[in-house]
Amino acid sequence: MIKNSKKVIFYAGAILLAVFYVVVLWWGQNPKVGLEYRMYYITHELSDWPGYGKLSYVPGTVEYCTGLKDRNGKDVTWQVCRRKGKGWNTEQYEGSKNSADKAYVYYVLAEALEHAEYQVEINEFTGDGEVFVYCNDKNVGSFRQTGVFTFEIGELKKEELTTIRFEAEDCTFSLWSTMITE
Amino acid sequence: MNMLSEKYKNNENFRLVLKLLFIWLISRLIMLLLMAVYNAYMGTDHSVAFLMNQWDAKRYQFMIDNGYTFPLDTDPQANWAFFPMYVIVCRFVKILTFGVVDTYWVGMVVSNVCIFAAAFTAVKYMSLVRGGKSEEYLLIPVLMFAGPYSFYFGSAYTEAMFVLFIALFFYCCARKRFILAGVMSACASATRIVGCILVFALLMELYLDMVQKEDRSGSRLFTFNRIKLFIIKMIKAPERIFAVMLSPLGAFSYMTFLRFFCGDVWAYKNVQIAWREDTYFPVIGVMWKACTGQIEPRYTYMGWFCVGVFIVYGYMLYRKYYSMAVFGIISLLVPLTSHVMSTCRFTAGSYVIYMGLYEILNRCNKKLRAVVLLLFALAEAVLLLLWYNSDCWLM
Repeated sequence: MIKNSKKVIFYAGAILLAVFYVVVLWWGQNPKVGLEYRMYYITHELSDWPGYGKLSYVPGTVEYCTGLKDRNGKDVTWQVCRRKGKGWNTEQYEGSKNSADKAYVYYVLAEALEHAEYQVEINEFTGDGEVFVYCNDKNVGSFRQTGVFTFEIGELKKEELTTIRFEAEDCTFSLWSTMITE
Repeated sequence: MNMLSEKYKNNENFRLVLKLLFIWLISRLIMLLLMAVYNAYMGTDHSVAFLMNQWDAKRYQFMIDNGYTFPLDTDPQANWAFFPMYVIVCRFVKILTFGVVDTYWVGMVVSNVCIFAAAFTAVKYMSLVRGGKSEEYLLIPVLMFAGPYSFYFGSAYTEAMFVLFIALFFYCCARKRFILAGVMSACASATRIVGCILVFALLMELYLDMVQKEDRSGSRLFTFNRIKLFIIKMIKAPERIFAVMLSPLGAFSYMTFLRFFCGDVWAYKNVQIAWREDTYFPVIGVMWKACTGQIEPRYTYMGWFCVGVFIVYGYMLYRKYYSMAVFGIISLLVPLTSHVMSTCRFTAGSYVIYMGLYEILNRCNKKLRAVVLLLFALAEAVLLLLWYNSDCWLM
């Protein structure tokens, strides 16, 4: 009798553990995390860790596409663009150079914009090709030299992920600053 | 005094503890001596705690004092990558000291106690499994206290505690205390994720136990019928199923904590992206890149180090240390899925390598063994000096 009840306890214990493990694995399939965490740690869409809630963007803020420190290891004084996705070089002292045909920047707007414009400053351009700029997969313009360029991107909703994609054809460029404004 | 002398003569465990204490003391005195040499040569005046606790020891110190924290906006290297058992024990010990003892010293004391207990367990295990007196296996504690990379066992790292749980796991298996072995495995998996791999060692031990009971010597170890029989016997033995199911409990408990802490049970794995972005084809790609010198020189060394370790594990299979070799091989393959970084530390921290080295050295002639041990001692001395210098080869 005692032997049998011992057996039952062990079977029950093993089943309980199995159920517990399944629940944990199910949680693993459904992480309860914020957008920044998901895009940096899980899907690796972001190349820099922006911090919790830091993809949020206040329209009109100019962000510079450098690292947090300069060549001498000193903290930079300007607002750094920490929302870059894949396709950028890791070294970014003088702006961010594209390292692939497609390079991404992400925004989550803190307020809705009806007629948004995307402004970029390109401080280096090599090659004979052209860079096409897309906002949420819609082509909004292109550039083929250095300078400041403004693209009309239309309506942007509040707290929705906005994806800017640079598609470089036969060229490389360096993005110095970016801004979304109305 | 007479009583002590009597006890020394009659009590094998007492004798063993004293001998281990002697080896441990010598090894630590050498560490201290090398610290003095380092300080004198570098013109520094660093403390024992400072020199012994490099790299991740600083993270453990922070975690013992502050627990798990969220990543800063400027630093994505969250401390979720580190498993909690060592931190919990150190925290508890620190509380026992009313928080007055320096955290590094708490960590070092815990590590040293763990490695001492692990060495004792290792000797008892060998004496149980291979027969003979405990004193015949003192080479193992020598390697664990003073062999290459053994300095990790003296610092605030998880390695010593991990080694202790593995040693206890194999000892429990040898005593056929499989549920207790499952508990040890659970503790190991709460110390480092590769502790989960002990489940394979446990299955192997259970299988070997069945084969042993069959007592059909001469026939092949793995046959379809035996495996089938093993599965049937396992299903009919709930305490064994329970023991196996216990093995990853530590890791799953930590994952549950992570679910409520940061929302992601895989956070300890996902956070690795903050340490390295370079990706290679698992194991083969990693080993190829490392061994052919396509990464950094330290990784070339580590690549070839891993090759040597695999050879030792292969030899252990040949010498019928099946479960240990299986654990060693898989626990090395796991980090090799991403990089060779830290594999020297992981190998020392896998414990089973010491059994393999013992088996090899024990079969060498005395002169060769002495030469090898001398080389090992020299290597440890050099590694210690590099460690004190916070060398990146020892990250």
